[in-house]
Amino acid sequence: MPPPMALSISSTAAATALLPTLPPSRSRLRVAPRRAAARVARVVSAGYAAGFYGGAAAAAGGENDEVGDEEGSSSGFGAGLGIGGGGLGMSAAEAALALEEREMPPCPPGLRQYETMVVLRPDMSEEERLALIQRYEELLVAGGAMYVEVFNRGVIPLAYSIRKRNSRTGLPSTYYDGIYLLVTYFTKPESLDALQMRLNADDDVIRSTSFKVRKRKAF
Amino acid sequence: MHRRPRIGPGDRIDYRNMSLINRFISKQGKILSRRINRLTLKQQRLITLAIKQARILSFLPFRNYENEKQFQAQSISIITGPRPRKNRHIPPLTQKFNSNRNLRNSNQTLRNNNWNLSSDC
Repeated sequence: MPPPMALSISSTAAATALLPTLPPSRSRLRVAPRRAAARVARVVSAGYAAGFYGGAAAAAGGENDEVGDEEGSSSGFGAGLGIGGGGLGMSAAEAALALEEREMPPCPPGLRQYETMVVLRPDMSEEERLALIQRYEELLVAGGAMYVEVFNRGVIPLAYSIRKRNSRTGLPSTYYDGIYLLVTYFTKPESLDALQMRLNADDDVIRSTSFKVRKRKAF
Repeated sequence: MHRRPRIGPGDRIDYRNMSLINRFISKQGKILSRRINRLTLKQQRLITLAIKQARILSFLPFRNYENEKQFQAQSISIITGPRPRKNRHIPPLTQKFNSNRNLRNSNQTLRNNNWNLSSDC
């Protein structure tokens, strides 16, 4: 227990330390234009992607703001990226991707970095979603995870409808939308099975997949 | 002239990078071949993996059925369309009879040859 608390305290300290300093934010804003321009050009070339994400842009934007509110450590970065995105016309998906691709702290010894994409029911309230996130964060920390971060992508329409049966009532439900959460963490390889079993048994989770994050050179 | 590569050095091949993945699937949602995509072996492998992961998470459809229905309708009309009678070639029934007779004749000839050879010896 003490080590995670200490780490969280250090992370909050780092966040508070980063917030007042102006030069890093300026440098970050300067870096954003080139990246945003390149991404915008790419999005324009692929009209299908733009059309696909266009509908959920507003919702995703709102959810991105919420991401900052949920976690103190990422509030500054989220706010900065939000401002840059709004000014430069960066799409919500690109903003989410840039936020998610932020550099992670160095890997602790004995642990590996994983990311889990979870699709939740669209009719969940904010309180239920926060409770679910809290539950899984506690589960991960109990399994030996560190640096757990949750990114909320908002409600995105599913490419194909998913039919899922409630385990208690037995009534089937067909979902056409889902709330996408991305959880990145460092943990032991053995604790991943328990997490996956828990996610599969949960009725609020439509679909979930865990991947190992590899340090791969970008092309 | 060297063609411009379709994946730039700054692009990240990942299941979350939808703007990149959408370039390498057809209208029906199938993965295009490496010859069409003009990718290296490594890039094609990574793209394929990313597309399959995106399909599982419902970012991409496995197959785009709407386009496929139209394609099926068109193909059905092509296959079952009316054809003019004169184009059909129906072989005459006597041809088989003739072919059988030819076989018998050839067998008889073989027997005659064998008999001739034995008589010579």
